[in-house]
Amino acid sequence: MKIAIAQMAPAVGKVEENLGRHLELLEKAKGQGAEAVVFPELALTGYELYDLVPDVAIKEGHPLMEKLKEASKILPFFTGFVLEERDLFFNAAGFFRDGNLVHIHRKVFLPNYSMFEEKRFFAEGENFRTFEDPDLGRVGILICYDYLHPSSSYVYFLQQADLLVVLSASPARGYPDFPSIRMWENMSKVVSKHFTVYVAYANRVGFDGGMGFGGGSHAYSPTGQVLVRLKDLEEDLGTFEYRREELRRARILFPAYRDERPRVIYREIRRILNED
Amino acid sequence: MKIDAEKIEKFAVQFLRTELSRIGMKRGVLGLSGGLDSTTVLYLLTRAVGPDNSVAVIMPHRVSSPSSVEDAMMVVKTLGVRHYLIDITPMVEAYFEKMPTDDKILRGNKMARERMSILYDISARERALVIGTSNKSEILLGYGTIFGDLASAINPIGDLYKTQVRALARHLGVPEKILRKKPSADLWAGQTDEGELGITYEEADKILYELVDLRKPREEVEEKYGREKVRGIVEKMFKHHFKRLPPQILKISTRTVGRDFLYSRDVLT
Repeated sequence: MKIAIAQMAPAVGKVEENLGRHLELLEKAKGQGAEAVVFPELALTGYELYDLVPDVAIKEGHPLMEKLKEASKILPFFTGFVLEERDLFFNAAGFFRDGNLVHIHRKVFLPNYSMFEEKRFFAEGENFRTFEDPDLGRVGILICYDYLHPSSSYVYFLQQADLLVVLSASPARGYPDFPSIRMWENMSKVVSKHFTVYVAYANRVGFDGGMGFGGGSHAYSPTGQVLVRLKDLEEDLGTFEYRREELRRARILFPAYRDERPRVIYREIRRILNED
Repeated sequence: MKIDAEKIEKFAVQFLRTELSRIGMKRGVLGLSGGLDSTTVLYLLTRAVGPDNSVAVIMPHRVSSPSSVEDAMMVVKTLGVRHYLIDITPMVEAYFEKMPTDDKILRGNKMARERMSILYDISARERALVIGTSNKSEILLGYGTIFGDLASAINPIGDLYKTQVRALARHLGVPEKILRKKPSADLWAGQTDEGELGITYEEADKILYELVDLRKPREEVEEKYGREKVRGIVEKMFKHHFKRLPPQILKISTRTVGRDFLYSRDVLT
């Protein structure tokens, strides 16, 4: 099946406008034969929210949540939004399909250094749980900084994930040509091959308060091959072919999961944390 | 410190285009001195919104070097942008007739603020956003006039050191004559940045890059470039820090603008 990555540029706080952009891109992806779409982190709200977080948060029953569900009748999709739960606000990502919100991931690793201040405005997620989809197989969602901690992908690997979906809002920075953009690709090269898993990474573009986001979204196969690479620094839409047989072939070639020893790792972590 | 000028050009052009359209303006306006920074920004602006939407304002004073106006006019003609040529001598001198001084800094600051005042007037007349032309070296060293040349709405080169601006300018096709010019605020005859700062940009940029971007320990940088030089730079960096910030507000309520009333510059645009 064909999966699309929608590298869009959300506007800060303009949720209706951003929702409209989702609808356009879903139709466009559908026109290109895609059967699912991945949007970037906080694609519904924009990234640099600060005190706007509670104002743009949505929860079950919120009209915008219903509109997102409705949109998934066009095509199933992953997108990022602010989730409100018992007066807590999460940087969240959801998988919407056939008019339902099927799965939610709450960002676990909130960056709080350099230009990032997420811990000030969001509550921390507490888990990395896969979910099953009849077409996509076993899926794990990561949000941006989650993915820069290989331990997150490892937890999904231990759950035999077939597809890692990464939603990102990574600002372009550094000399000579924004190495921050390449950093994600390096990660995907390693993660996809060594955890024998498909990776779909969607980064946003556009500008929030002088920060420009890098784009460079991509997908990797479970043998570590790049399947599609979107443009740097501008809006783009790209698709890649997702094939279950390819997962099987990769795992025959390289039985990483079979050879993994989670009990050893578990014991070692317990020892390091002095929990024995 | 080496930059990929082509990528930065694309990034800066998109930034200008996006921010202008968000604010609901088609045009940008800037003060064109005929020097490297303002010329570079005008090249970027022209590529972002076209020459018809790029407005250059040339504002000489009688003490300005005559070659500044000539160079600025050459740039205006080359790019085919709209321009205003406004001699600021009468307004500045009208003030100094009432408040005489020979202090070069006082006179220079007044000139820089007169230019800012004209830019913001033309901004309103033309519905054009004021585009900043200060580079990272100047901003970090505090080498500028607060509410003068440091004033702008958006600035595409404020995170590029002077030497990087030159590399970008070369890529953009800025005339050789302007690339080779000695950097100068041109506020009095014979003034040069490097003369006033007591260090070349080549060297200052390297020191700033190691201290600011790489966060190397100061002792290590001092060892490499010389103690006096590095201390001089650090001193300037903090002495002029206020120029980079909005005014300090005395906190009284639970939610104070600039401290815990926080929204993106681009909120709801």
